[in-house]
Amino acid sequence: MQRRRFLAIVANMAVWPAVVACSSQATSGLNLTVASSLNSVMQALDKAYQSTKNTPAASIHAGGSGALAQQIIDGAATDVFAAADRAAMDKVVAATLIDASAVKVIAHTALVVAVRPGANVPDLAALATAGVSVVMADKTVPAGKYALKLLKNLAKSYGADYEANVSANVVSYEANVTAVLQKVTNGDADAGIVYASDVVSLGDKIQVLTIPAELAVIAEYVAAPLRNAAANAPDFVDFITSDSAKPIWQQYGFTA
Amino acid sequence: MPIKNRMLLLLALPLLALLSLPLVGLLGRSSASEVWLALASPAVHDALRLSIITSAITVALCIVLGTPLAIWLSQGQHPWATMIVDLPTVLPPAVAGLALLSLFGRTGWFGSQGLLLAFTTTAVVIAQLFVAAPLYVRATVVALNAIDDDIGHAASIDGADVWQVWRFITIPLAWPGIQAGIALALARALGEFGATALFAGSLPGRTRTLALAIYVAAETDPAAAIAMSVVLLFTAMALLFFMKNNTVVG
Repeated sequence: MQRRRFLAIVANMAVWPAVVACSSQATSGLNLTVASSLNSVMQALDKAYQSTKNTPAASIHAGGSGALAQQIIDGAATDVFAAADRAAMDKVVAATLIDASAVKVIAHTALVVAVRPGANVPDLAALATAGVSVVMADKTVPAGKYALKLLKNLAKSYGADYEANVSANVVSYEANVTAVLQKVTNGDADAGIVYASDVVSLGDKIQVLTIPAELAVIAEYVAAPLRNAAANAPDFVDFITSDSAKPIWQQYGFTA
Repeated sequence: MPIKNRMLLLLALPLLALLSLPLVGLLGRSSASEVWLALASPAVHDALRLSIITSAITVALCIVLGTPLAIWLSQGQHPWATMIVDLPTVLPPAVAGLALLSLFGRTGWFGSQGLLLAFTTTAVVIAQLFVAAPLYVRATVVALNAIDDDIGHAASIDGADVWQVWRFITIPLAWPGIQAGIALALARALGEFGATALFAGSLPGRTRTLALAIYVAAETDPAAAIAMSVVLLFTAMALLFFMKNNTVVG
C-alpha cells in the first residue's frame, strides 16, 4: 500500500506538471491523429483553419489507422481522429471514446498502382508477369484490404489467374501504405498498390497506373471529434467537410 | 538491513519499477491458453520458425566470422576497427536498414551490379548479423583480454605449441565470456526489427520474423501480438539467465 502511494505521488507530482508544461508551451492547438495517407492534406487543412479561425497550429500524429485506433484506446491524447476506413473508427466508437453520430465521411480517394520508373510494368496486366516485384499493405490495414479488393476487381478483366499471379509476385506486405510507397520510390520494388492521394506530390519520381472506373476501388475516409476533446474539435471537423475545404482536398488528390 | 541500504533501494526503486512493470503488465494481459492458441496459428508458427532458423544461422555466422575479428582486436590497439564494431549497437535500427539498402538494394552498390538481396531471407540474416555480431565480438574481446598472458607464456615454456595454448588455455578460460556473447547475439537477432522491416520487408514465411509479425498484429489482433511478445520475452529471459549463470562461473 505504502509503495503504491509512493509511486502514485512520484507519477502525479513529478512527472505530470513537467509534461503538461512542455506540451502547453509547444502548442495548445488541436491534437489530430490521422491515417498516414492524410498527413500532408491535414497539415494544409489545419493551416487554412488557423488563418480563418486564428487558432494555434495543431500537432498531427500520423500512422496506420488500426494502430492509431489502438493508441487512442490506450490513452493517446487526441482531439480529432481521422481514419482510412470505418473498421478503425468503429473500434474507437466501441470503446465509447467517440459518439457514433459524430462520425463524418470527410473524403474519398481511389487506389492506383505506383510504378518505379524504368520497371517493366507498362500496364496493369504486367503486374502478373513473373519476375515483377510487387509491394502491398498487409490485409490487416485498410490499404491492404482495399488492395485485395482491387486485385479481385482486376481479375474480372485480366482473367481468373490474375489474382494468384500478382500475389505470387508480392515481395512484402507492409504495415502501412507509406512503407509501400517508400519501397517503390527508393527503387527496391517495381510496383506498389497505394492511394491516388499518395502519389500527387511525387511528379516523375514515380509512374502511376490508374484503374478504369468500372473496376476502381475507392477508399472512404472518416473523422470524428473525441468525446472529451477540446471545445473546438467539432468545429474543426465541420471545417474540413465544408465547401471552403474542398479545393484543398482536391489539390492533394482527394475528392471531398 | 542497514538503513543506508534501505535508502538506496528506495532511490533505485523507480527505475526498477519502470523496467519491470511494463513486462509484468504484458504478462497480465495474456493467459497461458492464449499463448498456446497463438503458437498453434499458422501465421505465428511461420514467424516463429523463420525467427529461429534465421537467428541460428546468424549466430553461427557470428561465431565463424566474429571469432577471428575478436582475436585480432584483442591482440593490439585498433581504435578505428573497435569504433566500427561498436557503431551498429548505437545506431537506430532504421539507419542500419537504410545503410544495408544502400549496398544491397536495387539502386545500391552491389544491388546495381545484380546482387539483389532486398526482400529475401538472406536479407533477414544480414540485417540480424549487422546488429547482433558486434555484441558477440565485444563480449569475446573482453573475455580474451581478461586472460593473464603469463598463463599462456608459462604453457609455451613448458612446451605447448600455439595451437595447444589456444585449445587448452585460452578458449577454456574465455569460454564463459564467449557463451555470454553467443546468448546476447542470439537474443538481439531474435528481437531485430527496424533493419529487417526496411531492408527485408515483411512477407509471411520468407521475411516476416516474430518481431515483424508482432508489429503487424498489434494493429488488428492485439491478443495475438501480446501472445507472441510473451514468447519472445520468455526466450530472452531464458537466454539472459543462461548468460548470467555462465559469466558468474567465469
